[in-house]
Formats: sequence, C-alpha cells, structure tokens
Amino acid sequence: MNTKIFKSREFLLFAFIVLFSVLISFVNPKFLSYENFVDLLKSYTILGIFSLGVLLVLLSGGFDLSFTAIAQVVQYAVVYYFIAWAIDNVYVAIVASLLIGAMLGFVNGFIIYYYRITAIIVTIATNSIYIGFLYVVTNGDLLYDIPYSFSVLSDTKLFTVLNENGAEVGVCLATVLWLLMALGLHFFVSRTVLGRSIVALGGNALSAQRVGFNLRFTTLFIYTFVGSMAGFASLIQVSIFQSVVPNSMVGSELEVIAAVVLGGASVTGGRGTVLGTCLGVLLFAVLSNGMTLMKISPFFYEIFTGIVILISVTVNALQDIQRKRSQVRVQVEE
Amino acid sequence: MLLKAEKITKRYGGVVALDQVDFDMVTGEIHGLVGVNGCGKSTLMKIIAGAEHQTAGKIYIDDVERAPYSPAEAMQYGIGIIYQDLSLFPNLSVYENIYLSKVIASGKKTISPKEFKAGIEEIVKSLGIELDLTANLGELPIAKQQLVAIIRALFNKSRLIILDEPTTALTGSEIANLFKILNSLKAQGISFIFISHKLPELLQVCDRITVFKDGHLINTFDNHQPLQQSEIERAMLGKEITYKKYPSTAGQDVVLKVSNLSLKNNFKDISFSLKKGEVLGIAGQLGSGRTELAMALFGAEPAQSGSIEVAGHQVSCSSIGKAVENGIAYVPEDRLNLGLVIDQSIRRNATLCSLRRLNTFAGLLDLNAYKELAANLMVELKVKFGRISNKISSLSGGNQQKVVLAKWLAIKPRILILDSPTVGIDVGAKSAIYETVHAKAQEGMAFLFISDELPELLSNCDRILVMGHGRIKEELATAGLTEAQLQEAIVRGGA
Repeated sequence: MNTKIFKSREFLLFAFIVLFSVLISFVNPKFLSYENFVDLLKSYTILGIFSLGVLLVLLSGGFDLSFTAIAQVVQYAVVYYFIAWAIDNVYVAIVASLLIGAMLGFVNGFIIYYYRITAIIVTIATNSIYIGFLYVVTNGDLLYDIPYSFSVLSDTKLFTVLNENGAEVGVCLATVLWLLMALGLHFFVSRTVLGRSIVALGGNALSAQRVGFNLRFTTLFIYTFVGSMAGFASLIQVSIFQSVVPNSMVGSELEVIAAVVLGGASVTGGRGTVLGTCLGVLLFAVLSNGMTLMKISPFFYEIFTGIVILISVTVNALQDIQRKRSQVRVQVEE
Repeated sequence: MLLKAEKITKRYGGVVALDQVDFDMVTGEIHGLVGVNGCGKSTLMKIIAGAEHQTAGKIYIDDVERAPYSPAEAMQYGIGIIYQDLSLFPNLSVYENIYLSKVIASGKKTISPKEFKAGIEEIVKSLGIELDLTANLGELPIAKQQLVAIIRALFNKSRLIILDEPTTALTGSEIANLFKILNSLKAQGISFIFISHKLPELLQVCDRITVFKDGHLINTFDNHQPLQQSEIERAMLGKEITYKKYPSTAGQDVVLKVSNLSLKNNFKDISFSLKKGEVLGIAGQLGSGRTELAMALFGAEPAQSGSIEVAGHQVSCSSIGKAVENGIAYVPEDRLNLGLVIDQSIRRNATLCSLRRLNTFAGLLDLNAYKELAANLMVELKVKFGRISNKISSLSGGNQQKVVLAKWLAIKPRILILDSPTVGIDVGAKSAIYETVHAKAQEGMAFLFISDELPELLSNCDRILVMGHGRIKEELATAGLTEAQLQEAIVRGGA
C-alpha cells in the first residue's frame, strides 16, 4: 500500500513542487514564505477553476477548446450589464456567470451529441464564433469601473497572519472557493453514479452505451459544467484584475490543458484525478513564478506548455504499446 | 421454458435478416449457434438481448409474452449478453466493472463502495477462481477479463447469458477452464447461448446446436447423441464438401528458410524450410503460436531473434514493408477488419497492394492500368460481383476473400501465408480458393497454409507442421495421414 502512494502521479508532482520550491528559494529566499504562497495560489485560482471543468471533460473522453472564449463572453456580458443596470451584487453576478457559461457550454454539448461531431472540432469552431462575436459587438472596447462588490472575491482574506510590515496576509476567498469546488468535484467523480459513469465513458464509450448509460444527459452535463466553470473563472479574473479586456484569456486554453494533463489526466479519456489536477496547476504556478524570479523569458513558458502536452501524450501512447507487448499471447514452452 | 422466440422476422429496409425463426432455451443448457457471417444469428441475439427489435414475431420469457424490450429491461428479465469485445471498462477496477451497470440500472445517485463487496466475493468464490477485485481491469489478461464479464452477468442475476465468440482470444488451456466454469454454472441452472464458428468447441460443450443460414434457422441438433461435425457443416453450407487430394508441386529450391526464430510470449526456436511450389500446412490449437509466427514472418510483430532466408539470402522482416519487399505476403484470418477496407470499392481493395506499380513517370496513378488490373484480377479469381465500383461489403464472404487473395496475388509474392483462408465461406468459394492456390503453386509460388479445418489441410498440403506452446512439435507428411492422426498430434501439441 505504502509503495503504491510513492509511485503515484500525485506523489511525484508533490515531490517536484517541493524540489522546485527549494531550488527557487536558493535564488530568492522570499519564495518560501506564506505570503508568496498565497499570492501564487491567488494568481493561479483562475487556471485552477478552468482546470476543474477541463478535467471532467477529459475524463469523459471529450475535449474542449472553447472554454476561454466562453469565459470572455460571460465576463463581458456580466460586467457590461451590471455596470449598465447599476447592480452591485457579487452573488447575483456569480449566479449570472454560472448560468450564462452553462448556456454556452450546453450549445457545445448539444452539437457534439446530436450531430456526433468530434468535440475538438466543434469547440474550435465555437471558440472562434464566441470570440469573433464578442469582438464584433464590443469593438474590442475595454471595461473599467467594475462594480465594487466584485472585489470581495479577491480581497477577502481568510486564515490571515500579519507579515513583517504589519499587513494582513491570507488566502483569498476565490482560492478557497476553488479548493471547495475541487473537493466537490472529487466527491462527484468518485462517489456519484453520474461521476463514475463519466469516468467509465472515457474508458470505453461503446461499452458505456451497451451497459445502458444515458449518453445524451451525460454529454450535455459535461459541456454545460465546463461552460459554467469557465463563467465562474471569468468572474474571479475580473475581480482580481479590475478590468475587462476582451482577449485577456484567449490563448491560455493550452496552458490549462497542459496543467490538467501534467496532473495525470489522459487526453484519450478515462484517467485523471482532482488532486492530481490541483497539483498540476500548482506545479505550473511554481515553475512560472520561479522563471520570473530567475529572469527567464516568459516565452520559455509557452515552449514548456507545449512540451508538457507532447510528453504526456507520448508517455500514454508508449504505456499502451508496452502493455500490448507484455501481454502473454502464447504460453511458450521453455 | 426459459425463453421462446416465435416466428421472429427482422427486416432492415428491404433486406430480410431473419425470416420467421423459432428458437427456444430451457433452464440449464448450453445452446450453440453457428452459421457463416450474415446468416442472422447475431441479429437474433441482439433481439433477445434487447439491442434490436424484431419486425414481427413474439418473445416469451418464462412463458410470459414480452413486448420488444430495451437492454435494461432484458437485464431485469435475467438476460445478459457478453459481446466479443466484452464491453468492460479498462480504466476502472474489477470490482467497479462488476457492479456499475447494476447501480446505473437501479437509478441510484450515489455509490457506497463497500456495498456489493460481499455479494461479489461470494460469486467469485463459487466459481472457484482467484480474482483481485481491486486490480485495474485493463491490466488483466483477456481470459480473466472475460470471467469478469461473466461475473458481472451473474451479479446482474442473469439466468440466460449470451456469449458471442467467447473463445477467439483464448488459449487452449483458458478455453478448457472457461468450459469448466460454464458447465458448473449450467449445473446451477444458468443457461448459455454460445455463438462460435469453431465446430469442435461447440460439439464439446453444447447440449444443442442450432444452425443458421441466410436468415433461416436450418436445424437444431441434439448433441446428446453423438453428433458429427460433417452433419453440422452440411447444414451450414448447404452441401457437404468433398476434399480431393492435390498432388504435390514442390520443387527443389528452398524459397524460405527459417532458423531459430523466437519472440517472447509468442513462439520460440522455430525452424523450418519451404520449397518453391510447396503448400506447407501449419496446424495447432489457438494459442499454439501459429498466427503469431505468421505475423512475425509478415513483419507485423517482428521476431526478436533467429534468421529468415528468402531464396538463399538472409532478409529482415522488421516491418510489413520489408517483408513484402522480400516477397512475403499474408492473408489474415480476420477478413473484415484486417483483410479489407470494408467501406471502399471492390476495385480499390483489389489494387491496394499494387498502387506503387501503377505509377506513371510523373508519380500519378495510371488510371487505365489500374482499371485493367482490377478487371483482370476479377476474371482470374472468378469473383462474382455487380459493379466493380460497388463497395466490397456488397460481396458475399467467399467473394470478399477472393478479392483479398487477388490483392496479394497481383504483386506476385514468392511466399503467401494464408491464415484460415476459408473460414465462414461457402463451398463453391472454398474450392475456387483451393484451385487458385494450386494453380499458383504450379507456377512456383510457395504457401504457408494455416487452418483449423483438418480435411482442408490434408487435401491441400504436402507436409504439415504441428505447433503447440509456441514451438513446432511435429512435422507430418500428409501421404497416408488420417484426420484422426492429425487431430491426435494437435492435441498432443497443446496450447
């Protein structure tokens, strides 16, 4: 049992996070402080929430490249109307962003299920449509004067301590919400029939159908979930950055997918855990922060993202070949 | 009566897949189902399992008439089906694979992991097998996975379990083990429908055997009286084949010499030689390593050590491309998946191996030569077809197989490996294939002829290698050899 833990992907990720943190702290001793840690968590909360949606869709054997576009549209719509109608209530905003995100995700699921089109193609197309639509309607204008209450998500601090300057340091509410949602998703995929069905679906879709899964409901649910996670993440983003830039998240899809894949999820479906995903996000956070501290060009980060995806996919493929090779087909007499 | 199907008819558009079929199952029997591809047996099974609905006819379960039902309802009635691919989830644990379908059917929302443990362990124990419930299913060998599928069916309280070609991926000893389990479950009142194209297996394990042909139920044989394989063959194919002994056309020159060829978990120390114009048989049970040897010679799963000489020159068969360059070609057993591009035309399939030879100097396809080649091949192999641009799937199994053969003959290989080339095809096509083989052998082409059908081996081959446990066990000359003697040698060889 014990050896199983040490061999697991989660342990490996954890070890890497610790290793890199220690290495970075040699260059910059401030790195290993509570303050830096909660800051890091805060800036990666957006990626973390995106990654929960992406994990579920990858688990099911599906794919989604439109979630950042959904986030952009939701963010713009919510902020624009909340300013226009002078509604300054973050809780209403949360509900609105979840709902609009869910709707846009539902469209993906609908097309994927009813027209049996490959998810990657559908979501590349809807990504383009959502973003294009947003640019056309908004002319690319930015939004400022964000409703005041939105900052509750990023400014509320929990588990606070005082730093050496006497300022309060703590985990921001958004991060806590992310971790709570992660916990909820963990329960969902491990203990509910629908969650297990989604994992099983990713393992073998034909078997799932034969065993009597409700494929329609499951598909619609998955893409709706990704959409609502994207919507929620976009609200966190505006709360942290206090402005809406229509293309601020475009292009970060791959980073999210890389973090999830680094966390042990398989792009071919059926494999992945919530803990692994969160650790994958954390490892990404530590690495990018370390790169900044070591003054390495941020462009290397993009190269790194691509390499992570390639390596993860290759490793999975090699494992499959290895498994096939080692299968005993004939009991050979020695 | 556990199950009674009355005058079941199934039409797909204008095609009649089943025509007024009567079929029944009693409690505690193993009922074999045979027939060539497309004979209607799979359609009937899908109807019984609820995956398809009949166009006309009635089904009674426990003497109660049931309207066309869904797979989930079939499960409630106690009917389970185990498809050839097993329909399990490789990424989940054995334990979860067993209970998941039941939980889904029950409409429950959450899972308590310990709930089914005792019940499943009891089933495993009653079968007298070792099974790690926590293991990931994908890591188990196929035979174990199949047991998981059976346990899942039992856990779902199935009283009638349909097994679709359950032995195709199993070795001889695994098959024996499966039969032991089926028999013990039968004694407990579980019934099985056993679909297979391997008649010896059916004769060994079944109480009754039903033969389908062209959507009709031809006959149901009682296997309690001694039943002959030839009787079933006659029912399957319409008439009995008479095998004639082809004279040897083997020359003097050795065209293929294999020495100490080995591949871990596949075969070991294989040495033999094949002469020009010779038809060399390879016999052996499934899991004896015969198909694996063929795959290695063809470069699909290359050997790790040993040497292959073609016409006196040492060659490498490390890929299919290289094997083909060396003049080695292979007609696989699984015609539909490996032999043909099933959605493409007859012409495209027939010319598939020759495309490089049909290039013009500009690197484009010489369309006239392409069409001519396909047309000539159809004539040479006497393929019966409507239009050559029709999909290959429109042909009968026998004619499809002729096209597979034609595809390779077009590039004139030195050595052609035939793996069970006549499985599931009609008598006419069978003898046409034999004639083609011997016409080519006459011209000097050498053949490795792998088959389960002993009369076929005896009539076509000069010598037969008997394989078992990944090795060549015996070499037999066919002159004066009887079917019984060959059968004994194969059993001795084991798997």
